[in-house]
Amino acid sequence: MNKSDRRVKGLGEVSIQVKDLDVMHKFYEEVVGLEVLRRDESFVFFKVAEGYGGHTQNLALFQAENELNPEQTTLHHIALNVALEDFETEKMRLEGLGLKVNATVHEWLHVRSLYFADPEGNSLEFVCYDASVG
Amino acid sequence: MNKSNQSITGVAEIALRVHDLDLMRRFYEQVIGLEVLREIKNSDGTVIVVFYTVGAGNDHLALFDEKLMDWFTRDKSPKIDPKLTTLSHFALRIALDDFESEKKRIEQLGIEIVHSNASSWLHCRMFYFFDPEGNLIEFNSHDEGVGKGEE
Repeated sequence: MNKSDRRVKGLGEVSIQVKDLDVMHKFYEEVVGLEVLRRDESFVFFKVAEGYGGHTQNLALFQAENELNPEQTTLHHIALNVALEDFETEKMRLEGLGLKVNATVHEWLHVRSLYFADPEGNSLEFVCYDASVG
Repeated sequence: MNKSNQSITGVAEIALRVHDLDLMRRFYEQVIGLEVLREIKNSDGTVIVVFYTVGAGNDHLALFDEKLMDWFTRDKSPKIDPKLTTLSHFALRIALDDFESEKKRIEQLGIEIVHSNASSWLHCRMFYFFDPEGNLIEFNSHDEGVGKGEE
């Protein structure tokens, strides 16, 4: 398949299942800092960015109806883009909130990354492009 | 300022933990049609991570061997269980023009479309199917026509 034939245009949404919707809603709104698009009894949608074709790129939390085990999850992590100029302040802000933050660089991608966990054990990454890396 | 963090500019990547990397990469390359960006190999030459480019932007999808107990997974088990996953689903954006043909293509590959709907408040159409290890994938097209006149 050549590039112009590829039908998939981008990531539209990532949705996770959660045990405690209120706690997770608060974390993603206040700590991660996402804008609430819609809150319902069993879900909350956050807008992350403008996406492909006029649509938004979203992150959603759904109240789990079944048992979850973050240790056996098929989700490795979710990465969110942040601006390079905000990287250090975001690191300090997250650490200031008492989160354990692992900072690293991925040389082949020329990026800096911050890894931290949400309250239910999902790994999040804040990542920014930095041409000086690698 | 509202609470939204202005420094966040997008979803960069979703990374999945997988049991059978060969099987899963065949699916993501041949059925979904993603382009390989990079393979990461073990010291013995075995591929343990595959990164894909999703669309023309900087969106990525990655497959990580479940046994890879590094990269901030130290508190996780080396065995995944899709029934207990915290992942609900993820959506890949496709053009509205391709919506019906992609649905037909996926069905013709013998993959069951488990759900199909439209959202009046998200203004999009979507259909859902499972990857070989039970992760739910959504193909999603923006459609201004959906929900017009409502809300």
